[in-house]
Amino acid sequence: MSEKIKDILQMPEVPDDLKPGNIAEFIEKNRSPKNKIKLVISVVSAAAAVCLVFSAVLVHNRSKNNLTVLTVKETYTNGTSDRKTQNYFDGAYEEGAAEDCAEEVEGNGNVLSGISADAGFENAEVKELFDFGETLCKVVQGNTSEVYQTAVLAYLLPSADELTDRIVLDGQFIKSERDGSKLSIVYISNDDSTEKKIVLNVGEGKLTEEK
Amino acid sequence: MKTDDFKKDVSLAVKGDAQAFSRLYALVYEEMYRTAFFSLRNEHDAADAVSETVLDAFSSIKKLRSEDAFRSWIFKILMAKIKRKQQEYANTPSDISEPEYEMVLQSEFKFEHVELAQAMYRLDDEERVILSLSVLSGYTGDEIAKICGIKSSTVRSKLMRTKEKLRSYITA
Repeated sequence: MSEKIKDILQMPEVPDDLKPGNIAEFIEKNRSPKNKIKLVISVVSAAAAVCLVFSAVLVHNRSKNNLTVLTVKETYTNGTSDRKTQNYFDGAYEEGAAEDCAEEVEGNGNVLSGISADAGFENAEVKELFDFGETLCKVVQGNTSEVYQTAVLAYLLPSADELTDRIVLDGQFIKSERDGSKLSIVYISNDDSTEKKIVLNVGEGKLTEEK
Repeated sequence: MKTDDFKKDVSLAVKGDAQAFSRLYALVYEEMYRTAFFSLRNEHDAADAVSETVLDAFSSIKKLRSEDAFRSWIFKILMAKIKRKQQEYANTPSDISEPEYEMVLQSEFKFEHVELAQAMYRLDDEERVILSLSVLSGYTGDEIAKICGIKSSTVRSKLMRTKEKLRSYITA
């Protein structure tokens, strides 16, 4: 039976694009600066989307003549929200006209550069936020020299102004989950492209790897 | 390819020589594509998995610890891609396409092939991966265990059960 199975498995013809004669060209194409341009466009698009959301919130609040109290919350898939967002935008909404999108773009730039500085990455983006009561954890993905890196950043609540601890994982983020005081991160390792999982115990602004 | 040429190509590929990498890839590309095709059951995703593997392998070939391990190393990367796509299928069941075994059989039509191919595509994801690595690529139970990240004993028992399953599908 093995021979018959082998016969069947050997039947599909490999597409021309994947034949060795075309692979060198394929690799060269995918190393081109086009990819970087795509990445920049994605980041700019994301920034523009955030700008629109905040503009809408600002306009909404202004229409209620309630400029002095502005609560801006970003709700994430896990149901938590970013407490820092308001701090980043304080200057923008108090001094400027709500309709002036340019200020929000500047504010958004601060958010991104703040994350990037915390994680030490280029093109950093927040994937998940978790509120553990004492500690706020940001799961961030970015890159260093075009290699994906994932970081877990810890901030001590309630102020959450300063980074108190961080763990950097050498690979591409897939998902994160919370289980009580534990945070598990699944990522594709840069070492061997396999899926890896790290479990962190979170507390008092500290991250400890569970062995 | 001679061992010396193989080692030379590995060291050239590590330095970023895409031509040298394509010569190494030539040794494994058919098995890679067919394993991906059989595991994912469609041409488009199989091609995606292989091309993603090529890019990942080329960019991380510096991390290959031994030239002899090239074949199992690139298959390990491929398996990670296949597994990821299978997880995507599991999360979006409505997007699962019909198996394309009819296409496989177009070139050489035999009734026994149709029956066996249909039976093979009734196997689950892991069974198809193990079967293709064993029968098509000729990997041993230990090698498959390393590539898939499961125990050797599990591989052997799964392989035995898979073949029994196929027999029962065909004779049913």
